[in-house]
Amino acid sequence: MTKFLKKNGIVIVVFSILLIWGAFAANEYRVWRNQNTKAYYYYVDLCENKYNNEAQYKEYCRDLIDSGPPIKADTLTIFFDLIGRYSLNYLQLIAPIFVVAVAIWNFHKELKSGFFKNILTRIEYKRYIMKRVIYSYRFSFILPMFLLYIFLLAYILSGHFNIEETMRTYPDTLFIDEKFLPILSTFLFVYIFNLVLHSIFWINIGYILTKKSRNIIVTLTALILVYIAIFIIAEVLIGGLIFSHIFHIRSIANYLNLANIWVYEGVDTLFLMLLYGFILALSSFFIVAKLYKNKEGVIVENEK
Amino acid sequence: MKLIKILLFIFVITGIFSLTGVMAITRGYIDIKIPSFSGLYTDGDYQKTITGYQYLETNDARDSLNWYDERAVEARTRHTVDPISSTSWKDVIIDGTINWGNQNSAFGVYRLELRAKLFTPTKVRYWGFWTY
Repeated sequence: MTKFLKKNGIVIVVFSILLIWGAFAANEYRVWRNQNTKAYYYYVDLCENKYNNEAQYKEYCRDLIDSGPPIKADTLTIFFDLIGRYSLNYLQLIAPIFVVAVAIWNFHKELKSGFFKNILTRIEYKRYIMKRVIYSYRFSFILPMFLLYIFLLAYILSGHFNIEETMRTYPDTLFIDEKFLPILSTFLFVYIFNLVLHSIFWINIGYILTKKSRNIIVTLTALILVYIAIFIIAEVLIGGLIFSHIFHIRSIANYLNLANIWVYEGVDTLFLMLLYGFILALSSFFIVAKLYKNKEGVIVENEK
Repeated sequence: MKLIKILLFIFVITGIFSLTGVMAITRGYIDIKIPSFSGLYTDGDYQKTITGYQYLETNDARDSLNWYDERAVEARTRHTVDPISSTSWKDVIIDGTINWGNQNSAFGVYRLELRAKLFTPTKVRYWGFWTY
C-alpha cells in the first residue's frame, strides 16, 4: 500500500484536485442559476403586488410573466459553460502543469537521484528512455477523462439534451461556435483528440526541461514560462506578423493560438487544428529523441 | 480615421439624447483594455432608471499586440444589489448589437462585464457602446 502511494501519489493528488475543482465549478454554475431564478420571482412578485396598476410597467411585467422562469440549459451548453466560463477556464493556462507533473514525476526522480544508473545495469539505455517516454504518454488521456467527468456533472445540472430549447431561450450564449453543432460528433472527436495531442506536446516540453532542471518545481514553473513564450511567438510573431502582416492570411493566428483548443474561435477547418496538434506533438518528440540520444551526455548532465 | 468616426458618433448620440431627453443611457467604451488571461473588465455600477432591454453595440475588438487579430469578446451585465443576479455570457458581434432580452430589463443597479473568450497572455482593445 505504501509502495503504491509512493509510486502513484502525484497521480492521486492531481486527480483529487481536478475532481474537487470540477465539483466547485458545477457549484458556481448552480449558484448563478439559483440567483437568476430568485431574481425572476422577485420581479414577478413586484409586478403582481406593487406595479400591477402602473401603466409604465405594464408592458415590462407582461413580457416578464409571459417569458416564464429561467429554464434549465441543456447538458452540452452547461458542459462548455463549465469549461470556459467558470473557474475551470484557468485550465487553459495551467492544464500543462497537471498533465506534465504526473507524466514526468517518477522519471524526474529517477534521473535526478541517480537511480536511473542502477536501472541501466539491467536494461539498455535506449530502451529505458523510449519505454519511459512512451509509457508516460498514457497521461495525455487525463484531460479527456476529466472532460467526461465534467460532462457527467453537466448532465446532473441539466437533466436533458434539448439544445434547441436552450438556443431559442438564450440565443448566442453557447460557448463554442454554433456552426459546429451540425457536425457535433466530428467536432467532439477533434476536440478530444487535439487535447491528447497537445498533452503529448506538453509532456515532451516537460522532458526537454527535465534534462537540465534539478528540481521538479523549477521544471513545472519553467514549463509554464516556456508555454507562454511559445504561445506569444506562435500567435503574435508567426500568426500575426508573418501570416497576417506579410502574407495577409489573417485566420492563421486563430489556428496557432494554443488556448484555442478549448474554444475553437475563428476556426473554419477542424482538420487544420488537428494538423497543428500533430505537428506540435511530432516536432517536440523529435527534440526529446535528439536530446536524450546521447547516454553519456544525460549521465554527465545529471551528475552535476 | 476610425477613432474620429467613433468620436463623431458619440458626439451625435450625445446630441440626440440631449435633445430628446430619453432616459436610456449610453456609455461609450473607446479603446479600453480588457485584461489578459480572460480577466474581467468593468467600469463601475450604473443606475438603470427605466425598464427595457439593455444593448451592447460593438465596433471593434483587437489583440493588443497583434492588431490584425480580431478577438472574440463576451459580455454580460450584473445586477449588483439585491436581488443579485447576472445574465448569461453572450458573444459580442463586431459591427453589430446584442441584447440579453428579459434577463436584465428591470430597473436597478447594473455593471457591464467584458472579457476575452480566449485565455491568452495578451490584452484585448475594445470599442463599443452600452445602452442601459
